[in-house]
Amino acid sequence: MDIFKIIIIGIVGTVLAVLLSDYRKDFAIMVGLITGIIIFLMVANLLSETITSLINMLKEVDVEFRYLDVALKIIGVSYLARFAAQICRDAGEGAIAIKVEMAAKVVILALSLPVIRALIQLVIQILP
Amino acid sequence: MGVDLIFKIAAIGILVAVLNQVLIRSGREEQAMMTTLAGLIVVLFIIVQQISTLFDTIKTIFNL
Repeated sequence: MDIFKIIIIGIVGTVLAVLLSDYRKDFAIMVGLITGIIIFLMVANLLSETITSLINMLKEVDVEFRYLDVALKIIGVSYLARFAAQICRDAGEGAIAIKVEMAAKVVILALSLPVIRALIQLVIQILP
Repeated sequence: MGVDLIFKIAAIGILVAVLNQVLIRSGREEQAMMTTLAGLIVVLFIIVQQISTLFDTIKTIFNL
């Protein structure tokens, strides 16, 4: 099972980061960063397969595809921003973390603008 | 790929910490700082490669 491997990697990374944080704080942050990256890359294949099969499923039932694309993009942006913000927060830089999250919110708003416009057009069409 | 990357970075960190202590005790402050800098650069190289892999993977998965 892959999940046991991931759990063990997480525990080992935590122990090493705590061990290093007494001596050199910067290397402890690096260990945390690389642990997060490795865990994501281990689960990335499964995630990719799942999303592909989800898209195929939606194609079979003829749901409009482009809104799912927007949703996927938003999930990707928010995952990356959360990853970076959490690293910043672990390093004790809460201000930078908040700015990263704010930038991600702006990007998400810009990405979801077409959906909002479509919704407003739909409402205008329905209204007499 | 796997746990060995974490071990590698942690080992570099411990090594740099020990070398730093030894060099400072023997009064070579400049070399201690150089050791720290070298270790940091090596670790940054490893990390930057992995971050690039992470970004590529996320780009292909969520077709950003």
